[in-house]
Amino acid sequence: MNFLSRLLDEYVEVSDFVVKNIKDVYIIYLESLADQDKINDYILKIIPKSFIPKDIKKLIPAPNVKSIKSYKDLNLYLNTGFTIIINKKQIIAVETKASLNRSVDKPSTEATLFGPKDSFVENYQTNLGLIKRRLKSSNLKDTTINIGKYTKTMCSVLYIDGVAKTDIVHDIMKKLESIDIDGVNDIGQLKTFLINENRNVFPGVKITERPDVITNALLLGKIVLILDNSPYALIVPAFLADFINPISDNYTKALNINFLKILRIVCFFIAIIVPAFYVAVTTINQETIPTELLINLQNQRIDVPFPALMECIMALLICEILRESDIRFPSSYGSAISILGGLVLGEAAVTSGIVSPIMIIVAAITFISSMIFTDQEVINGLRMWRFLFLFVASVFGLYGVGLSIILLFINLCNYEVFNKPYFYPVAPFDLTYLKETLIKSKNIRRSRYLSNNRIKERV
Amino acid sequence: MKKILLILICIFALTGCYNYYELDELDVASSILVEHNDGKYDVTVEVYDEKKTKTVKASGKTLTEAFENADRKTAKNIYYRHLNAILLTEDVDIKEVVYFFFRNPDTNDNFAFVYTTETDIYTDKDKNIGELINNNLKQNEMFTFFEIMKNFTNKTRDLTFPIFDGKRFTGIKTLKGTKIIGTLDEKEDNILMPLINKTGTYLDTKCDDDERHFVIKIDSVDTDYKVDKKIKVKVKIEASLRELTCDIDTSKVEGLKKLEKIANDDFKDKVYSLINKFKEDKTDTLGINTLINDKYHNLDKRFYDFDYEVETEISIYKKGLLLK
Amino acid sequence: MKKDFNILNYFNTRALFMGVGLSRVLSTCHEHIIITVFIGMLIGLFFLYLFRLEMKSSIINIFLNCVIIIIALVILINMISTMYLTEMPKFMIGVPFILLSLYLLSKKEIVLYRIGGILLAINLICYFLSFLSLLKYVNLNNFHYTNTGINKVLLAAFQYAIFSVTPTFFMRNKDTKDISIYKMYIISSITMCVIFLFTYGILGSTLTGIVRYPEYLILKEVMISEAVQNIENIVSFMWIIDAFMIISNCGNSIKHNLNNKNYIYIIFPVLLFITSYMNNHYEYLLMVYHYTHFVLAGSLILLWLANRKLIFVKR
Repeated sequence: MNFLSRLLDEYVEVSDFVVKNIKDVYIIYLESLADQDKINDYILKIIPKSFIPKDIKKLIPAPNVKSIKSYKDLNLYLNTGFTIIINKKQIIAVETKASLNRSVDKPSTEATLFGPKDSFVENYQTNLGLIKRRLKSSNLKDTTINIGKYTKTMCSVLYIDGVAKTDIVHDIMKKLESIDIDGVNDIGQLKTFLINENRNVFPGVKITERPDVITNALLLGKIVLILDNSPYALIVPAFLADFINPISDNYTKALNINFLKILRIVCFFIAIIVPAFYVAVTTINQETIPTELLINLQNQRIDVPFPALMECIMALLICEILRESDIRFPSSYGSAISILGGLVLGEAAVTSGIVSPIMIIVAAITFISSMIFTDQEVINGLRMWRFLFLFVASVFGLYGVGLSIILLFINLCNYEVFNKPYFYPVAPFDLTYLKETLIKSKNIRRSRYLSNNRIKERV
Repeated sequence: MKKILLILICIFALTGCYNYYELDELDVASSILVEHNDGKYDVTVEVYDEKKTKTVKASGKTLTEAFENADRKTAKNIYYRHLNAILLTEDVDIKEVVYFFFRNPDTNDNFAFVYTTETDIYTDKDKNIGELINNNLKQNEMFTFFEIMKNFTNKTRDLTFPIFDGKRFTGIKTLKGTKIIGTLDEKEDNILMPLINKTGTYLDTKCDDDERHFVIKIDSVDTDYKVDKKIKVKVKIEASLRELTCDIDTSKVEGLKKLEKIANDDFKDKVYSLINKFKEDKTDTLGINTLINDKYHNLDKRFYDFDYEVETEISIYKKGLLLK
Repeated sequence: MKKDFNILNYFNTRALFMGVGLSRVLSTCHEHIIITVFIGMLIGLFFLYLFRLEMKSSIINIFLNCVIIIIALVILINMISTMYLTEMPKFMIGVPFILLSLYLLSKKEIVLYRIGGILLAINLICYFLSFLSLLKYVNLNNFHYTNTGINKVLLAAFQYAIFSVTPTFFMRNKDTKDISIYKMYIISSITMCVIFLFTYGILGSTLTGIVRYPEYLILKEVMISEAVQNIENIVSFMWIIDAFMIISNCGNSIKHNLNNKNYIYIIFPVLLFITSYMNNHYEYLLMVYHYTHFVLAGSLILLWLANRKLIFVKR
């Protein structure tokens, strides 16, 4: 009973806090979170008509009923949408959550042509259900934890027992338990707590909203985190090779798809090197290009007053500004923005003599090659390296481009995620994981860095 | 520690601009004409100028001075890494020019090295003489600067330069060491090419009477030299028939054999006369001295002390679209 | 990749040939290339078998590693200054190189081996690309008779052995098995033999003695189709990678011999100053060209005197 007086003292000026008293049984719920129909069905239709036993649990026909011992639990359940029933000294919580979610929809950021088209929503149970209907096994374990002092969001760590290595799981649980912040809005905020990302611009964890990607990762031996109110999930550990190819490659023919896979690897390097190569070849090492092309470029650059480096930086910055405005602007104005961008970058800049036509082609090729990757972090990382290469190439030419490539490889080889090397299938060379990600070919083993259970398919 | 490194990087990244030339600051040179008058070098550089060409003339006591003066006459720097051709005239010391261009790291290596008789070549602004020469000589790799440098220093064979008279090629000049000795006209040039394993030339042979002739084009050639008491030259040619005005019926085997015999005899005579000309001038254009040295080490004899024996075998294996 | 750290020896055996070693060996042995390389390889294998030393950490080892770094830096900076960036001061060409090596050495040792694997793949791609397209330029007439006796062939074989084997001694790792060192040495000898043959076959006997960087000059002829010409700047990166790896390897073995690992940040800039002093005075460059094999042979003897405890245990 003292819990009730404490509740009444605390929940002053909370407009949806409802307390009902029927036959000396107190029924407490928050109107915005609880579903009225379920309260009627499970509680309000039954309690007035029946004799109330000592253990009121036997009376309520709801599927999820929990008994409460502490005030902290009571607060938690009340705020999650449960209805609290206080019967003399017994307190129970009945689940009557309202459905405040949108329905399962197509993936918005990772679209593919073939394959399943469902994606996560903001409800934790729905997300868990979408995974569990694909992995029907009792070996799929999940341990839960609540994060955040005021938000108390539920987070769970999923792995397959017998496939994944358990030391990473213990490591992750320890790190999550030591988090002490006010609140968590989205799973992206957990990234800084899990890995130390200050030394590298490329992401160390993969964010996805597709359940088939998650199932594939779990079967390889990786570990997945889900957070309530977040339509994305984290996959740990992630290597650079995971970000390059989409999941729909697994559903198509190997012989045809290997061409596209190699093309994507080439695009990764094109997106970094092409502006630097252009500046190096037109300013310092002009002997590399054929004579006719050189004369052609010379004729195009006659009207341009800026040096090639400035021109390059301006064109790339204009592309970045255009991309940012494209994301934020509401779609009802969409067509006007694209016309303005096209006119600005295309005709007007060339005819007014600010940039040369070849520069627009270079910027367009760079831009389009970097859009092949779905993860936003990879695109942001590529941008940093692109500018570094540009500055070094303008001073040292092709020698500088070569040294910068070596610098890129040193940086990638040095980064480690949960003690696993980031450049994994390439730098400690491993054919089994290479066949999973970078080239498609028949593969019956899991990689030794992710799992001790090596055999995947039995022929 | 990291801050010091960062400051260092910023310092050198923002101060260095050596070797940085914008494209509008460069004049790309296409060909160079070198003359030697009154102890001075006169240099004419042909430069790309939008879609046409322009020329820059300068002179100086040495080659370096002449090129420096040429550079000062234009507003932009002259860029030599896309050279197409170099033309020399009579009095120029070939060795000096060749070593100058080889020592200089700012030039490329695949331009053509050519000899001219006229100095008034750059009259038409629409015509790019350097590209004209380079495109015509591209099939024949022995006239690029790289080959010349190799043969100059290794002394395996004596060089030859093509002669350009402003509009077309008219024969070749033969050298002995670094001096120009003799001239071969176009017909003798056509005979020389198969002897050094180059294809693509034509043989014009007369039939029994003086007015009619036939022409064959050489498609593949295999020349072999054997050094013994005499030097044996064995030439095997596969040719295709291009023109025929003789009375011979080539649809039958005997007619074809007759054609081949006439071509064989004619070719043999011409080869003998060419070799005799080389022996007179003592120019080792065929590279026989090294073969002699390979077989008989440290012999005193040179190629002009030997007798020659020539065997030729021409087979006509294509006749075109006509049966006869 | 298994725990075989042998992959870096490929670079060690090739790096000192650029500029100095190749033209020296070729101008001594002329057309008897295959025999020279074969005998040189046997002499090198014999040295590797005989001198299995246990390396103590001492100042002499640091000094000998510095000698190799200086030789490699002098060769590399001069090549880039002649071919790539003709007007830049030589000191500035060396600065990003040294910074990159120091960056690599400040990371863990395993990163050096991972980078070695990747750069080996790039090296082999450049190598096969260039030498497959140079096949048609080789002229067998260039292998004609020159008056070289057997003394010169043996001398050239000895020079080849000195240039290729010396760096391996300074950077001997305890974990590497002997037999894998021999295998890697034979593989790199075969690749060097092909480079020697192509250089001599394309350029001829006299030109290899006159020209400063013959292995760069033959790469000017690489042509894939009409459009892709003049890519010698890109393809000659295999020599720059060799120089980078040998400098990083020497730095790594210096680190093993130091008590305080941070002293390497002082040693490398000092070496760069010494190199730039040598670059500005031509007599030192000529000394590098003429006397390098004596310096390397002397340093081998010094190494043996310093670490005299030999191991005769077979692994």
